[in-house]
Amino acid sequence: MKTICLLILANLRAHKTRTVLTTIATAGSICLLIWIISVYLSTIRSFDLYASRALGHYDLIVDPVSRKADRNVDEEAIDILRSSNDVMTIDPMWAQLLTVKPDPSIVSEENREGFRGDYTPEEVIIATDAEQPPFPILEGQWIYDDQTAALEVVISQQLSELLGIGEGDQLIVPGPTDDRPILKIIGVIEPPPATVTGATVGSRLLPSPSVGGIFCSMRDATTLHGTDPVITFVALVLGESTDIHEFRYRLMPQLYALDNPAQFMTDLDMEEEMSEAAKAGSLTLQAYVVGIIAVMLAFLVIFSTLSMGVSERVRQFALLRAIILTKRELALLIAGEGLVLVGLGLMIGIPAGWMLVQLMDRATNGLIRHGVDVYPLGILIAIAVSGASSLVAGILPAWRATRVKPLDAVSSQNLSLHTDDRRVTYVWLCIAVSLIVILPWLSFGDPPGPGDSVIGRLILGSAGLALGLLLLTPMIVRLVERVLAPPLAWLLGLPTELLEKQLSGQLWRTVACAMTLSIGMGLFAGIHIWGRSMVQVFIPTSWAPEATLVFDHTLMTEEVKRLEQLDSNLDFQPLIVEQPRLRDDVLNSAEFPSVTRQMVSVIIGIDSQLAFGEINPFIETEWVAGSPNDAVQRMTHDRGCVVPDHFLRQSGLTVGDELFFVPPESPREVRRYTIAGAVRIQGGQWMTKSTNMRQRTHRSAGLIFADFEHVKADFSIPGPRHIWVNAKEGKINIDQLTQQLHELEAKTPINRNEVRVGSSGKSSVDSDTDDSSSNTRVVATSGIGSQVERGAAFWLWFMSIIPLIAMAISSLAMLNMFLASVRARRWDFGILRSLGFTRSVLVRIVIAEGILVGLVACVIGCIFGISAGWSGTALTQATSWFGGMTIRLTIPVLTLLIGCLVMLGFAATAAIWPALRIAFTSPLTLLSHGRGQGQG
Amino acid sequence: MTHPPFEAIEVRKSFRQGDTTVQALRGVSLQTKPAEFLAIMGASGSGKSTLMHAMAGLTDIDSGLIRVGGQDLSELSDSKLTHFRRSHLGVVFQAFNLITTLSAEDNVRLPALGSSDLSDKVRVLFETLHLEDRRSHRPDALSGGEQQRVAIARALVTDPTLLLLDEPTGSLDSIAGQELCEILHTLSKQQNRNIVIVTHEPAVAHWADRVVVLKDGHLVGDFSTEGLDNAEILSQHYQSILQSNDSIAVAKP
Repeated sequence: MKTICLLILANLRAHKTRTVLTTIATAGSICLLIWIISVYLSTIRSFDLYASRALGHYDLIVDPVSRKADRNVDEEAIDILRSSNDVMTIDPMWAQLLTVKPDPSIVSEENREGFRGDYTPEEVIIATDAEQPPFPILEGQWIYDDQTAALEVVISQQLSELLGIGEGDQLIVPGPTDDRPILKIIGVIEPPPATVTGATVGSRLLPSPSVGGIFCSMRDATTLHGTDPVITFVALVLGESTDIHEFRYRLMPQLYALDNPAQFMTDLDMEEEMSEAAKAGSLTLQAYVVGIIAVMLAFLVIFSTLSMGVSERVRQFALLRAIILTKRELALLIAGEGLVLVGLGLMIGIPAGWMLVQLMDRATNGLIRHGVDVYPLGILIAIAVSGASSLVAGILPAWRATRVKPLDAVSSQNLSLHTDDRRVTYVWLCIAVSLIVILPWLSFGDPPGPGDSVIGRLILGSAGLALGLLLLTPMIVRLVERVLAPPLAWLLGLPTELLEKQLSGQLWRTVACAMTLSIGMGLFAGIHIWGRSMVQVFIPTSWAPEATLVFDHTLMTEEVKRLEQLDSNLDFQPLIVEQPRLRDDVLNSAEFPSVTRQMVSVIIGIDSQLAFGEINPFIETEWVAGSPNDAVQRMTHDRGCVVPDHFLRQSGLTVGDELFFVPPESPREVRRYTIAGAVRIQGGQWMTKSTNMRQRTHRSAGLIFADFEHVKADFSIPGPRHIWVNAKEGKINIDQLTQQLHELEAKTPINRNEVRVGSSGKSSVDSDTDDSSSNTRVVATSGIGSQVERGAAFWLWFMSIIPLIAMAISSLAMLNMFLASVRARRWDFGILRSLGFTRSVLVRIVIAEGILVGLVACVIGCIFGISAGWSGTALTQATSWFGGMTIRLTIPVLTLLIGCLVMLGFAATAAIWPALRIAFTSPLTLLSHGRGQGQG
Repeated sequence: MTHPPFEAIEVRKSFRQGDTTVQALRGVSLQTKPAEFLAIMGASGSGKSTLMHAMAGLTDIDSGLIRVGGQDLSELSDSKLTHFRRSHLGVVFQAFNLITTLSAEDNVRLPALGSSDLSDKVRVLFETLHLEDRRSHRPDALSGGEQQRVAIARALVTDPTLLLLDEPTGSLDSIAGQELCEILHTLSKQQNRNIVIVTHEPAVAHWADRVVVLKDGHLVGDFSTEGLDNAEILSQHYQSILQSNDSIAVAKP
């Protein structure tokens, strides 16, 4: 072992540049690995923290479906919950907004330093008679009804820190009179961090104790507010053996069927409401992908270094075999070299990773809710994975080294293990293609079922893809050389002959180099192809109107008529929009909820004939089931409805089947509709989100179209609040339309009293809006598309940091290989110099080689990216939250070109140093050193 | 019972060269005496290097027997053979074959790393081989003769049963070659080393106690250098042996 250690260290010392470059590249990979593990663990921790803390010690929340201002959970709902044996604790809660300020006169001495008496924050005050605090008590005690007149409260840690107050201090409710209520603080609790508490979805507060800044008893709240308690939401603790999912779906129909329907909210629902669950869902997949890439990088960097070392030391190994080492010891030598390189990489990579994580934490403040940190588990994983990858990377070089015969030590030949130029045969081609198609087959041919894990498929498919590309690379190298070397030689002013065989002449080194480089490009292409393809389904297409007018009040017929006269070139379609629950779980959302598998949908009442009629229909789209004429007939006369294509596919229903909708405000009056047809509707999700069509819950299985009058009557909606607009000719000028609209509003003030009709004197959707000012909006559909694309582009480019880092790391490996490559060809370069070729020619030859290798890497990367990215969309579709829609392959050519240019830039840059090194060595030195090649 | 340092009995070895089979050794039998300095001579292609490689266990033989210190090499697995070579055989090649990344001293220490009394032994070897001031030099900073002496020191550091040298002067100039031969002679006479040297140079063979001559895979001559006053006489004797066997070679199918 001592001998092996001596040899390892001697070799690393002798190749200092190579050792340093390999160490930097390995450290970079480890840094990347630690970074992604840290981000992953931090984010998961963030979600775990939220999951375990958003609801405190509660398991579920019951929240009213209604969006009326005075919405509340009825006693009837509480009775249903009480009747269940699964419910251990029921704590009704009353949430209100309350402005407070700290009382400067009674602030205790120890807290006075951070005291902020000038702050008057508006906080959520939650009244509850819960015996246990929802979150841990940090100081003092939990509220209890002491039957005294004093108002006692517990505040959150965030409020305590904000105002610099604590137990024993007091809060004042500001007001015009002197008898302002005083709240005595008796304790401080620790809810989730401030970025979560107070989080809102649209205009409403999350129904969760985590939003509470102040907690008090129901009796004190009654005194404080001067009204009877209203149950805003109910928090539940279930029995330990209760399956929350099963419980939820068992009781949901009963709660939804109440006069004042209620729904369950889990911690996950709230995360989903904050649009973060989807991120969490895909994070695991991303972490695996990036982790695999980082490990592959470390693997290839070490593999290439070890391979170079073996190729260069054949005679030395033969000698060692002849005089001292067994095959096993020689293999240990190679493995040891790999481990030492990884060890050096870890020594630099771990601190560098830590620094990167700290920098990222500061740079992306708020991106990861609880900050990021390097965890011991992350370091352990990095050590274990990089160590294992170095051992695996050493297998082939070690095997090659053990093939060296002791007798080779006395050979007079210039020894090489790569003397055979293996030609790509059709058999190889077939094997390569077979391996490459594994991933598409696992994604499209035999897609995973809902909820199936995709990790196994991803690993198997990616491994097949990588191996297939490895086999295919020699052919790609020859192809690139044949097709692109001549024009490149012409561009760089080189004789074509000098570039004709530069790559294939050292085929396996080129293959290793190109494969290493292609990792970053492959990941870059994969991310963008996957992302762009995925995001396309969220961008409204030609079916969608050019603009949506969104009103903050219900429009009466006269108002609609006035609008229609606004501009003769505009075509207006008033809409009745509701978000009813489907009586039956036709999309099987109980088992596998997704963005299109929900029990709630958005139903749009529209003039059937104008919308879908055969002559100049307002909604021009592709019919996948039924026909326009038949559908219009059914919509008009038989409560027919038109559903999206994904709805039909996922539900298994056909034209003529029935759907039952539960109106949110009159749940006992279930409405029956018949499917009259199905159309391809893309981008409906963002259309409804951006135009406030989803007011009751964030969930929606899709847009379902029915006849205007039927929807209006069935869901008791007095009039439209949304109007779709198209230009009859040309395009809508959104600014002009907005101005026209405001001018019209100014001319004809809205008679709000006229429109506010309904069971409680207010229409169901008006009552929580602000009376004082108009908030009419014109939402351009193109703007929605741009917004979606901009958001996606930001995240895709943000995710592209990792591929770019991978490119940088792999270019170090390329630099390493190029240094070895030019070193091995000193004799050839010496001959060229002695024949009269200038230094400049030598520099250009080496840089051209770098560019050619970069081009090979671009081709491999793009093949990998297209295959992996496209397959990724299928896997994501089949198993993730975003599943269910029809995805079409989208190749962002410009983005890929940018990636290729960056890749070529890295490749050319990596070749500069070797080029200069060889160019500035004298011809005689080149010849004399070159002659010594292969001499150990 | 004392075993001879080296013993070859009816050793046969053939190679494939394209479609033809080359008989490199055709039943060679040879034995060395303790503390003997033996030279194996022969023209190119005579089989002398093959015999040397077989003696070092670097190549398998088709038939026959090779024993070093009584150990039949064919009984050893690849791993055991390596261990045996490390501890019982010192091998020196024509092309120096030092590990370029190690210093001269580390190269010498290499086969015996882990031995407790290595420092004294290495010091003595460097003194004996006149390399005291070259201990920390890397191979590329040494002359050819110095490199070869370092290779000999490395071969001797484990006190091998047999020191095998394959054309050790082939890459050296005449003065360096002469110095090397003197050293080998000293080692043989003063330290009683068993030395076998493969050479085609009479000037080198003249330093040996005994010379065996190989021709076309046959052992065709075996004579003592005692009484051969100089290399010229040895050369004439060697030539006469080769010529006298031409008829045999020609007569053979």
